[in-house]
Amino acid sequence: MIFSEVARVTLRALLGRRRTILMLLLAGIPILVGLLVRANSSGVSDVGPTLDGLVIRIVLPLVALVFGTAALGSELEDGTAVHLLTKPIRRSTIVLAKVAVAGTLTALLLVPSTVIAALLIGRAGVGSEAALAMGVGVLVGSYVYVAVFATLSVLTSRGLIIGLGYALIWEGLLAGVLPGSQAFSVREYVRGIAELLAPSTMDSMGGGAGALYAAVALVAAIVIGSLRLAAYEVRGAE
Amino acid sequence: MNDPTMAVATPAETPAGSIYDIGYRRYEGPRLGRAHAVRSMFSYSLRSAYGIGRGTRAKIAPLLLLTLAAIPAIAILAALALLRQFPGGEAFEEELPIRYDTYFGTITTFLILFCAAQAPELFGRDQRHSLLALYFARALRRTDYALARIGGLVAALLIFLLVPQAILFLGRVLLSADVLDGVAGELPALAPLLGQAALAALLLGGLSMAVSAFTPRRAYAVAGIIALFIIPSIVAGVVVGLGSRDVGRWLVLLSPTSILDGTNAFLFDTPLGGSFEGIALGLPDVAYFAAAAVGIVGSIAISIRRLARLTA
Repeated sequence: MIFSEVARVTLRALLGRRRTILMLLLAGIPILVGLLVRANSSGVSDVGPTLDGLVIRIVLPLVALVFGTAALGSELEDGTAVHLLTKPIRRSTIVLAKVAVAGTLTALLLVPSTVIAALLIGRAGVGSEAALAMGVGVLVGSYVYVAVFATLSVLTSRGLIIGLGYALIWEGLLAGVLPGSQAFSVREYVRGIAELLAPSTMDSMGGGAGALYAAVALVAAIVIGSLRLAAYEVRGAE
Repeated sequence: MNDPTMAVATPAETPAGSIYDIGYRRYEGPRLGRAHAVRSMFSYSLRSAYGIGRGTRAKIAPLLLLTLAAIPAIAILAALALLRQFPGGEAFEEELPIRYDTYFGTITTFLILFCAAQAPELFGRDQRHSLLALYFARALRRTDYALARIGGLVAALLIFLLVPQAILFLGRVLLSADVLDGVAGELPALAPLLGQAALAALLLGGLSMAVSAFTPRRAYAVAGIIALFIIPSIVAGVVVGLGSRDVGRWLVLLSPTSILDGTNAFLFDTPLGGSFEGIALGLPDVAYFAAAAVGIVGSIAISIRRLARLTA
């Protein structure tokens, strides 16, 4: 009961007009690329790498970052979280509800966009298999990314920039230099899930184990976020 | 009239108003004026872009990014020094991937992150804390404010771009046995290096300030800057990779990082490869410079216009 109430409040907070427009624009970019591809050719066979570079590398982390940090961090930052934290609600319930809402919003925006883009980009016969694999990958990735970024925003006040650094430097640059570091890369998990469902679509480093890693990361992020929020002291108004 | 306090507060010629005159005096010292206000705003912006004069937490992100940007230079100097120890090691020196002409491409990610982290701080904080009215009540005009803030970020970006290159330059000079000879050998790289750094700082700085002028909320500004800098080049890469060059060409000129790749290739006189895997776009060199100029002037104009309309 409390869960749905927190979820409802979060949903209303997250669906601000400006944020929604910005996020819709971001989610529209893969579809736009799909249309551009379709207008100029009959599609390509390597749907996976094309969507990987665009959706999994940039659009997914960016949308998850905005929703994930806005769900918890911005509330802690501007002080309105006090109204939630001083009520007799389990802190883990708060984290769960926030992650659930922000993750669902991210998935609702990006899964259709990814599937449509895959169908548009893919040559006949390749597209549908890739669309399913990438769609499921992005679905799982939405929740994992949101959980990680929401937890970051509880742990530090600069969650936004740290999350961005994680997505661009750790998952981007380090992947080429230190492949071992990608055991802790949500992007690799998403690629692994896509590879598990459609081996021809994607070639990931960790392979199918990504699904397992993703589950562990999701649980770990939520637990760490809950523990930190449980220890969060509400201070008197200044 | 023997009361000492009255003697200070009331000049003799205005006895009527003496009760209410509590001794406020006009400021009669020198007024430093508009130019000084702009200079102060500029140096204050430059300092705060690196967290100087702010708390420790504001220093972490910019200084960490600057360190990361300098690591390739230090690493490559170590490699060069190591190669000198082996007979025939010099043969590999030209093959090393980090040189003056590749350095901008190497640190683009850090540069973008620096813009995303610091540009919203420079424009956003004043809006969030409603400080603009205080600034505009002084000699500083709205345009001055916008230009000084943008100038501060551009100067910070110039430092960000040139410090690693300076390390590389000094290191390479010191690696040569004859220092004067070494300086002479490295000098030809200086002009393109400075030109490219100025272009990159102006274009990326101007664009990121234009984005952050529109929203006081840090999250939107950060997302907007990242999306603006990274997504166009990926989209252009996909479209060009598919072979549709006509659309791809226009997309390349819409992507700030691709524009800078183009100017870099011209200034250093190297082939434009990298992100487009050697596919010849057939764009004239002047197109990249024109696009950069449009981007710089346009973004600064947008910031000024936005600041002029903002309710302080």
